[in-house]
Amino acid sequence: MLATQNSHTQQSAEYWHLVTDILSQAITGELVGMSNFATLCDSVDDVLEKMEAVEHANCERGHAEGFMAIAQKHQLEPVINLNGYYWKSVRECFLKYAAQKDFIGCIIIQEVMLECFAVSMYKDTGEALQNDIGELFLAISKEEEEHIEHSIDLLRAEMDKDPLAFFLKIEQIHKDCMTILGEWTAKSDLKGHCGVCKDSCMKESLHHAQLDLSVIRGNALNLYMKTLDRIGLPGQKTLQWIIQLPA
Amino acid sequence: MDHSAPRIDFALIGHQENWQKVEILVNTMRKMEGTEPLSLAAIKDIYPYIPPRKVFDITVNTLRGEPVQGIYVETFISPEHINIKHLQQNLSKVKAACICAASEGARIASLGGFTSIVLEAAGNPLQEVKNTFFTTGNTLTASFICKGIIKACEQKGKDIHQCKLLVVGSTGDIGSACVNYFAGVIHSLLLCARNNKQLQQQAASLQEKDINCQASVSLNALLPQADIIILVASSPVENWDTNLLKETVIICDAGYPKNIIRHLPVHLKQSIFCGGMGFISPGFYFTPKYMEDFYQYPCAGVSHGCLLESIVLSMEKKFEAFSTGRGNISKEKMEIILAMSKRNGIDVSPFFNTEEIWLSSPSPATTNYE
Repeated sequence: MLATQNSHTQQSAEYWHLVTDILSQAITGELVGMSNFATLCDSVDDVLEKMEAVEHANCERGHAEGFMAIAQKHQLEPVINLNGYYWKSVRECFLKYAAQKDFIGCIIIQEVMLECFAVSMYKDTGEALQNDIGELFLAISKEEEEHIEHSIDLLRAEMDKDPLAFFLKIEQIHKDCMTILGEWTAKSDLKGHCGVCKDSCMKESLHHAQLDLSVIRGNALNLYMKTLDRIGLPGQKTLQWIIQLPA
Repeated sequence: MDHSAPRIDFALIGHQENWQKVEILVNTMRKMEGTEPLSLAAIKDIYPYIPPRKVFDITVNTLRGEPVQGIYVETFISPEHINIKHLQQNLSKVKAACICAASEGARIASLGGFTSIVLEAAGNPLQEVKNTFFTTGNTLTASFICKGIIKACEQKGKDIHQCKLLVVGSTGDIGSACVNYFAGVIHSLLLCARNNKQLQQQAASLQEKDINCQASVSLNALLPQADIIILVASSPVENWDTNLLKETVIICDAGYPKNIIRHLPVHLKQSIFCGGMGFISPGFYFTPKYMEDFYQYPCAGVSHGCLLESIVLSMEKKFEAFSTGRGNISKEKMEIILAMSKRNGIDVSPFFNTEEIWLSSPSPATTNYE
């Protein structure tokens, strides 16, 4: 029974502070995802796409609820702050493309960039925690993976229509959105406190759960690059994008 | 839309030998976009996570007709992981790099340096992918090493027939090619390798042919006799006793990384040269123009023999798995690839080491770029 292996008496206070911060980031991120899909529903005219956006929003809501429930079970009090610097910036980035009714732009932000980070980070976290919270992270990571798969087919077809226009679009979105994620996952908090962690930045406490920021960030960027490869973007160009990110 | 790339002549698959080179590569790419350089610590955090991919295009001029077009594919293997300890992880990265070269449309690809393990390994599963042929490039490397030794002896006034040649890493693909090349030419062979069983088998096989040779896993036991030394593998020279070296010794460093010079006393620094290197007299260039920062040899026009093999083969329109497996490099194949190389303007490089040009022949001044 993994769920009972890591009780409060077996793990340090620092460990549980870290897990609380991780859950805070995950819940906030899922709620940003939910809001993004809800916005997308308004931004598209196609009825089937509207229905799909609602379905995805509901899926993200379910993930947030799952994380909230497990936090409650362990008597943890996560911080939910959609106005924290990084999450707010990501949301604003999404809204910019939603305002232009740019369905593809929105999909790239939500289902490629954010989901790649979510899938990879949830997997690393899940494997490190080795308890019922970890199991939940792993299960949600699997579900989010399906979102990426879905988007790859869609975006590959979009690229086929006009490769150059698609390339220029994703390059611009990368600069807009991945720069924020690059700053968020940098070794130090490049833009000050994130507004979600309870006290100091959780990046300094990751070792309490045998997590390593370099590995987490590296794995997330690796999945992102492989996803761009699968869409059909030139690897030489995407390498240049990654190399330019803040670190 | 057809996602298959238009065909290109060749791909060079490689890795960086040390973090200093990685730092230059990454910060050159950042500089070209006007971004501030990254610290080495920050580079180390991201570099090993990058999936293998094309980094730049290469154009190589030839003495015979149109230039050939190719690409460089980086494996993004960490320099400190270039060893057997990380074999599985490295194999996986090299195989991904091979698939990348095939997806980019290369007709032939060289597996440079440590990456050749994929083709040297038993089973040899990657001779061809999507009509892309793979070669270790070891035959041309071995040819450049052997011809370099002969030329170095001429320039240092040594009679090669009277010399004792020590090959460190003698049982490997390139090492055994060098041993076979000089067997019967040189006065005697001194063989050194880590695997004693393979070493003794090699010695026994040579002795059956009346070749004068001596074998030992101990480098220091053989050093005092050596007139010429070829270091092929990432040789275990940390523990060698340089006091045992002859004053007139010639050392060809053909291993990875090339750091032997650090272990040598000052008076012997002019005795060591980087072996297995070729010189492209008609010139070559990279696009984007990373060459200015990324190219680090003390004279122009130089590249590794293993990488040059696929370039030479593409110049000759011979798209085939020329060098594969282990122990398959014959003297005849060495002469064939060297002849092809020379007629396209590619020959043994000037003698240099990591600190200076040793003997400059041919003159780098004759190189014509772009």
